[in-house]
Amino acid sequence: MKCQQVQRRLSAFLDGELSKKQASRISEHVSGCPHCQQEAESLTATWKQLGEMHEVDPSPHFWIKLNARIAQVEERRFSLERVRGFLDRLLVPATVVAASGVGLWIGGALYDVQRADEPEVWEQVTASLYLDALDDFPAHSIGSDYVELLADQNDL
Amino acid sequence: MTDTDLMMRVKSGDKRAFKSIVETYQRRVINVAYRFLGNREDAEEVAQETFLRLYLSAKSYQPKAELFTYLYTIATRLALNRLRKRKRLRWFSLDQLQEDTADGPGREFPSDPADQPDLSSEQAEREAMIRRALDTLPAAQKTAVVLSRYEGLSYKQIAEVMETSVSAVESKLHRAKQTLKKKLSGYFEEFQ
Ligand SMILES: [Zn+2]
Repeated sequence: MKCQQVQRRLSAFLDGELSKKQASRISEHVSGCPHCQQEAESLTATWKQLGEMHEVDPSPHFWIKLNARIAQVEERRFSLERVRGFLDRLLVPATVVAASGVGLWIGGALYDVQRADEPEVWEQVTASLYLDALDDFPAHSIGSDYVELLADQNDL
Repeated sequence: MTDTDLMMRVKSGDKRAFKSIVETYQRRVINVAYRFLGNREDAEEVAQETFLRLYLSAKSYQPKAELFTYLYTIATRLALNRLRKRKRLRWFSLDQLQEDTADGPGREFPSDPADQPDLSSEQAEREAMIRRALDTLPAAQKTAVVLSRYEGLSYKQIAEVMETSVSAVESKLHRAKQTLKKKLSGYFEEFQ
């Protein structure tokens, strides 16, 4: 094996991630090659230098806080579903809703609420995280106010 | 009861089963976020969001991978999102810009001294330096290092969390180690 080939797999070797056969080939080369031996030593030292990082404790109210947030989101989901029902019943022309500027946004949010219950969506739940697509409207943003407004109308 | 059993119960709306999952994993999830964010409050916020998303998507949960893999996936992505937002905000903050020119760019890990009351100043200084070194890595390499070095995950588990291949994890870790070697050796020579 060439030094370059060996060094490319040195990290995995040191982490014990290679098969027995691969590991013994690397090990054989390293023991006879001062250059690769030095590289192995310095990688080991680097990994050791990362040391232990201290840990933090969860707050004692972690579950209580989480449970309250779940209740809040479930409530909002419920009212979003009511808004959707309301819009469906009104048969508001899509163009009018879109003209309001936030119509599409709300439409998207409603769509997410609907989709989240479908089984094939699980992968998308994690994939969409890069896009912040599941972020809730911030409190008192135009989006959340609009939803509240519609929810109020729905009560009338 | 296994995690899968518990998740099946959560699926049918069992909050007690969910509470038991949260109690099992809250510490791990907070701390993996803490590795990225260096701030206890932000880490706890990410952990809350992680479990919230798990709960809300429980209906579509399929036991294809171990539960902690899902939790790590959600938590690391949320933490990285938060770091990106922090970076973007810094663009608009004059104070931070000045700080950047004084201390060099890329201070993503503002270690909060209040988070580490028990640490000696030497230990705190060492951790801050390591955070700065990790911070110079691209997000994917940093994630692989955190999961491998501090969370003790195997390459296969890291590949699952990062939704990539084992060989991609190997090459990310290899490149990360090369970079860290340069960054850290200077520091340790200086202090020893
Ligand atoms: Zn060699």
